[in-house]
Amino acid sequence: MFENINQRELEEVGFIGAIICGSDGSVVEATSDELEVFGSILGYISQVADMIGEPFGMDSIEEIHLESANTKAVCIPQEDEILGFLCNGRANTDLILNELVN
Amino acid sequence: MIEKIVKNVLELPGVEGACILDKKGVLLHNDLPDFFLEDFLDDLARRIKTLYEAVDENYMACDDYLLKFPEKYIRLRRSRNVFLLVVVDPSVNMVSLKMVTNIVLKHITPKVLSEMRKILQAAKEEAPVADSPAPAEAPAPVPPPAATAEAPAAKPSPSAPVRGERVPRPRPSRSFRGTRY
Repeated sequence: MFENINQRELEEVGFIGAIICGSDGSVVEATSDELEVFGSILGYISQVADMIGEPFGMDSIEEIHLESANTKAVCIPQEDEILGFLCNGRANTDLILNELVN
Repeated sequence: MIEKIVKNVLELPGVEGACILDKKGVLLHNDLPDFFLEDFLDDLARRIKTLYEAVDENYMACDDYLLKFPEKYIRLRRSRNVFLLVVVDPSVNMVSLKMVTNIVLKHITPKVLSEMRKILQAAKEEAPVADSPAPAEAPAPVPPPAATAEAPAAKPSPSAPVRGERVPRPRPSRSFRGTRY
């Protein structure tokens, strides 16, 4: 999936890296080896975030956006895999997601 | 005071409700829609705490989350003292939401927090007193003598429940993803 992306171009708009993890936590694909720690939390936060919506009667979660002081991260659970990507705090995550997925 | 500040959030177009939890997961202020049963709030608080702790411990401290569900978005924000949860429509202006929730979080100082806890405690202490006269009044409106056998089962008249107070109500049997509530 990441073979077709222009990583340099994305880095100019704040992209740091992306990772796809399997439902068992294994790394399926990543743009960098440094993303393993980030990848390791994707499965669990997807589950917990999904459960937060449960009492509100919501369907399965589509996206989880995390914001820390300097970094933004997005986690997108798919059927058997979870896509996650990291960018800097000023990046437009929707733009980057669009580039990654399309 | 805090109600006025939270009202600024609720007035924003697209905001459907908000609640404030302390760091222990205790509900301090509830402005979620009325259809949301408070019975679920314990689980909700526990899950929110777990999400924050899991990411803090295993990755990095993140104070803000946006959970995008197909129907609604849930914005979670954390300050030193509280968690703020806001349920919004996807059409909401996220920048405005961030600005107005910044104000809420800024105003919840330890002093305000202790005031909110006192109000909560007072409401809890008043709750049994408010509930006790209700069963005594319940048999009164039952006119036919034949119905006396069912009188104890009659529900107390809902006399304007205070927000945040637990109101006993029949819970419909529901199933969600295989779990029966």
